[in-house]
Amino acid sequence: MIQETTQIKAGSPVPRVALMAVAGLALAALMLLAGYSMVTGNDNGINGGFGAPPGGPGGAPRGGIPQGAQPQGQFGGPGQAPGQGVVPGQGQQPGQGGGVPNAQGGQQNFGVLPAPADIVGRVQAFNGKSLTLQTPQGMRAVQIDADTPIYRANGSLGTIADILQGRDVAVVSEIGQDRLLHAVAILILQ
Amino acid sequence: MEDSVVASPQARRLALPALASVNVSWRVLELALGATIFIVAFAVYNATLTPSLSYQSPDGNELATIPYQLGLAHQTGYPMYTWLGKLFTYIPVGDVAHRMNLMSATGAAAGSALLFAIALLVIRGGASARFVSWRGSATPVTSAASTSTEPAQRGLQVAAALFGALLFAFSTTLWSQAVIAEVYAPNIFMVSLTYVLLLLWARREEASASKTADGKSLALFGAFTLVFGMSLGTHLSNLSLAFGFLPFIALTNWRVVLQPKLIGVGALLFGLGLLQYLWLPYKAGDAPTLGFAEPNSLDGILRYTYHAFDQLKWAYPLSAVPDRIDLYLDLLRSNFYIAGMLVALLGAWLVVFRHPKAFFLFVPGYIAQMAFFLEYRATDLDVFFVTTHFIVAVFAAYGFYGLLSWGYEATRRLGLFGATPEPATDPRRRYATIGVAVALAGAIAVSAAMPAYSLASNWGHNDQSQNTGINDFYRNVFASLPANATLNGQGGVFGYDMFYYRYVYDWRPDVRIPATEQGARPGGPQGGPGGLGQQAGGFGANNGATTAASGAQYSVNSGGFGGGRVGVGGGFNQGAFGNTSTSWSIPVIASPVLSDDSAAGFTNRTLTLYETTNTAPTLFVSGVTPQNKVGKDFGGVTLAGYDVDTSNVEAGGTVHLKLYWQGAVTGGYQIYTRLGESKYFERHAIGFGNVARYVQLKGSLQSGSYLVEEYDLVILSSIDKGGQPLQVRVSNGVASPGEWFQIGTLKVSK
Repeated sequence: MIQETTQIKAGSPVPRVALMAVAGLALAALMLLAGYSMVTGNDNGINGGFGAPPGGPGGAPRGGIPQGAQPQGQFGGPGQAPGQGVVPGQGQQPGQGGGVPNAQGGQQNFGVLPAPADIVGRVQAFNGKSLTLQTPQGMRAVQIDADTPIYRANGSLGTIADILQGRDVAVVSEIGQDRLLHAVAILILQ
Repeated sequence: MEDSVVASPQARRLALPALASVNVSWRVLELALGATIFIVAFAVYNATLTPSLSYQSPDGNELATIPYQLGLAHQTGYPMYTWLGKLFTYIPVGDVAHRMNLMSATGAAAGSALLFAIALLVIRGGASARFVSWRGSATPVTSAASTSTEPAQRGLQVAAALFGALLFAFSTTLWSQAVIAEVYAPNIFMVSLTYVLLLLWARREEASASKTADGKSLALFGAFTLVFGMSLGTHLSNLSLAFGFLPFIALTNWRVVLQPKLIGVGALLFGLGLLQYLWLPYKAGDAPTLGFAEPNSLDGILRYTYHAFDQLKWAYPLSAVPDRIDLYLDLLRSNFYIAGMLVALLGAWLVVFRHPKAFFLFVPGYIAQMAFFLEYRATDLDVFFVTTHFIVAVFAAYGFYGLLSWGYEATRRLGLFGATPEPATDPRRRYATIGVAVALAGAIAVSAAMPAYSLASNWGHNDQSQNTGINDFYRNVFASLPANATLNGQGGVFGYDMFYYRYVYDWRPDVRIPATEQGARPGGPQGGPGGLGQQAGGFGANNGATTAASGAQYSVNSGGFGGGRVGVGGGFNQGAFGNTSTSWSIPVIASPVLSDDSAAGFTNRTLTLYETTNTAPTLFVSGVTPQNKVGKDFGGVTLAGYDVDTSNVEAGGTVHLKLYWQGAVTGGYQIYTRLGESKYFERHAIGFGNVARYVQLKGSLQSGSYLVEEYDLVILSSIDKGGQPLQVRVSNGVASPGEWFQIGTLKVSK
C-alpha cells in the first residue's frame, strides 16, 4: 500500500532505468577520467600540490638539485658530491643534497639564500611578475616583485633580466596574504 | 513495537543467532550507536587537540580570535562560524583558542555521527531499496516505510553505516582539522545536517499518502533549506552542493514545483539563512586590519564573498587537469587507502543500480566541489576536499553494506550460523560458494580494519596535544619586554598569533603593536576571559618589565609568511619587521614551534623575538672556552661547545643558550634545537642571518674564533618533567638535516 502510494505521489517522471543509465555513464566517465589521469598525470605526490618543500627540511627537491650545483662558502670546508637528480623530470628519488660549502669553488652558492630553498625548477614562463616553474612536483607559480633579491650562480646580485626560459632556479618562497606563493629570494642555478 | 527486533522463525533461520535473539528497539540502538560514534570520535580529537594556538593552518589563529571579538573574519567572512564560535568561547575550559579548537572537535565528531545517519538513510533508500543479492534476486527490505525489517539485514546496514562513519572520522584530513580552530570541521557538521534533513524530507515524501506536503514534510523541507542557507556561513562552497540537492528534490517528488507553499517556505528560510551575510557590512570597519577590501557596499560584499581569492580560482590550464586529478587521488588515498577507495567505488556502482536517486543527490555536488577545488591554487589544498571525502565515505558505507550482504548470503547458502543450507546440488557450485565466501570474508576483514588502521596510523601526525610553542613563546615575550616597548610583527590574517594576546587578553597594554593599528579593529577587553593561567588578567602596564627602556624596538619574526623570513638581502637579517638597513636584529627568544619542516609553508613557520638595535652584535669571539665541550662536526660546521645559564629549567620557561660554532659559518646552514624527544623543534639560519653582513662590515675573521649564537630557548610547557636531552642537528640548507645529536641534559621541573 505504501509503495503503491509512493509510486503515485512521489518519484520522478524519469524512468528508473534511465536514471540508472545516466548515473552509470557518469560514473564510468569519472572512472575513465581518473584512470587516464593516473596514467598520464604527473606523479606529484601528496606534497606536490601545496607548494611545499617536499624533499625535507632542507627543501631538497625530489630528484635532487642540478648536477654541478655545488654550493660554496667563503671560508672553506669539506665539499661533498653534488646532487644526482636532474631538474626537472626524472626526480622520483630524493637527491643527494647539494654538498656543503666548498672552499675550492663551484658554480653555485646556496649560501646566499636566506632560508632553505623550497622550490627548485626550470623556468617555463616569466612575465616579469609571475614565474612559472616546472618542478619534479609539478608546475609552480611564484610571484616576484621589484624587491625580490635575485642571485646569479656565482652569488652576485642579479636582476629579473637574468631569469630566462629554460634556466634552473632555486626559490625561497612564502605564502602572501593573497595566498599566492611569493619569492623571498631566487638563485639562478645555471 | 514496529521497530523492535522480534525473534521470528524466519529470523532464527536466517539471522545470526545473537541478532535473532536481540529484542531491543532498533531506533534506540541506532541512536545509541550514533551517540557512541560522537563520543569516541570526540574523545580521540580531544586527546589530540591543540591546547591553544598553532601554525597548523594559515588562518587558524585568526579564526580562534575573531569569534571572541564577534568581529569579521577574512574572506568570505564566515558569519555562522563566528557566531557558533562565540558560544564555544563561553565554555570554561582552557583558553579561548582551546575552546575554539573544541568547536572543531565537536563539529567533526557530530559530522561523523550524522554520516552514520545519512548512510543508514541512503542504504535503506526509500521504497526502491533492495537487499543486495549477488544474483540480483533482490529481496525488498529496509524501506524507510517498511515495518517488518529483518534483524540480520538491519544489523548489516547498521554495521555498514558504522564503518563509513568511523572511516570518515579517523581520515587524516578531517582529523587534522578537528584539532585546530578552522572552519572545515564545523562546516562538515552543517553539511551533514543539511543532508540528513533533506533525506528525512525525502523519506517523508515517499511515505506520505498526501498529494501535497503535509506539516511534517513542510517542516523538514523548511529545516533543510534553513540549515543549507546557514551552512553558507561556515563555507560558501557549500552552495555547489545544490547541484545535487535540486535533482534529488525533483526526483523525489517533481510535483514540489506545483506547491507554492513548499517552495515559498523553502525560499524564505533559505533567504533567512543567507541574511547572516548582513554581518559583513555591519562589521566592515574591521576589514582594513585584514588587508581586504571593505564589504560596505553591494560591490564590496560581492568582492568579499563571490569574488574572494579570484586570483586562486581556475588557475590551471586544461592540460594540467590530469595532474590535478592525480593529485586528488593521492589525497583520497592518504585518507581512505586503496581498500577504502575500492569499497567506495563499489558503493558508488551499487548506488547506481540500487538507488540511483541517491547518486544524483551526492555526485553532482561532489563533481562541482572537486572541479572547483582542483582548479584552485590553494597552498592548503587538502582541507578543501573534506566535503568530497565526506561523500566518498557515504559511498564506502554503501559498498561495505554490499560486501556484508553478499557475505551474509554466502553464509546462508552454506548453512552457516544456524541458517538452513540450500539443498545439495552440484559440489562444484558449493566449492565456488565457499571460494566466494572466503574472498568476501577477506574483503570484509580488510575493509573493517580500515577505521582502526586509520586511527592508529594517523594518530602521531595529528596529535597536537603537545603543541604549546606559541603560547609559551608569547608568555615569555610579554613577560620580558621592557615598559612601553614596540613589538613589530606581521599584519593581517597571519599576524593573529600575536594579536590574539592583545585582542582577547589585552596583555601588556603598554606595549605598542603597530600591526594592530592599521585599521579600526577594536581593542580587546581589559582583563580577559581567563584560561591563560596566572596571566589570565593580562599583564599590567609594568608587569614583567625588566628595564625602563622606553621605546625599545622588538620584532617577532614568525618566518614563513609575508616578509617574515630572516636574512633576506645578501644574507643580512633585514627580514625582521620595522628594521632599516642600518639596524640589527638580535635574537632574544626562539620557540620550538616546528614539527615538520618538510610540510607546507604555512606550517613551516619559525618563531623568534628579535631586539632591533643600531649596534652590531658581537657575533665572533676568540680566546674563550665553552662551558660544555661538544666538538661535533655536522659536515662543514662544527659545534665546539655550548653554555647554559642553568641546567634546571622550568617547563614553560626558557633556558639561556650559547652555541659556539666553527667552520664554514657563512654557509646557508640551518640550525635545529630541541629539548627532549618532542616532535617540536626550533630552527634558525646560522647566526640568525647576521653573519654575512657582519663579516662584510668587520672584514676577515680572526683565526680560531667562534661564531656565538646567544638566545633564550623556550622550554615547552608540555614537556615531561625530569632529565631531558638537549639536542642539535644541522642542515646545509639544501639537503635534509642530519640526525639529532645530544649535547647535554637539562632537568625540567613543572
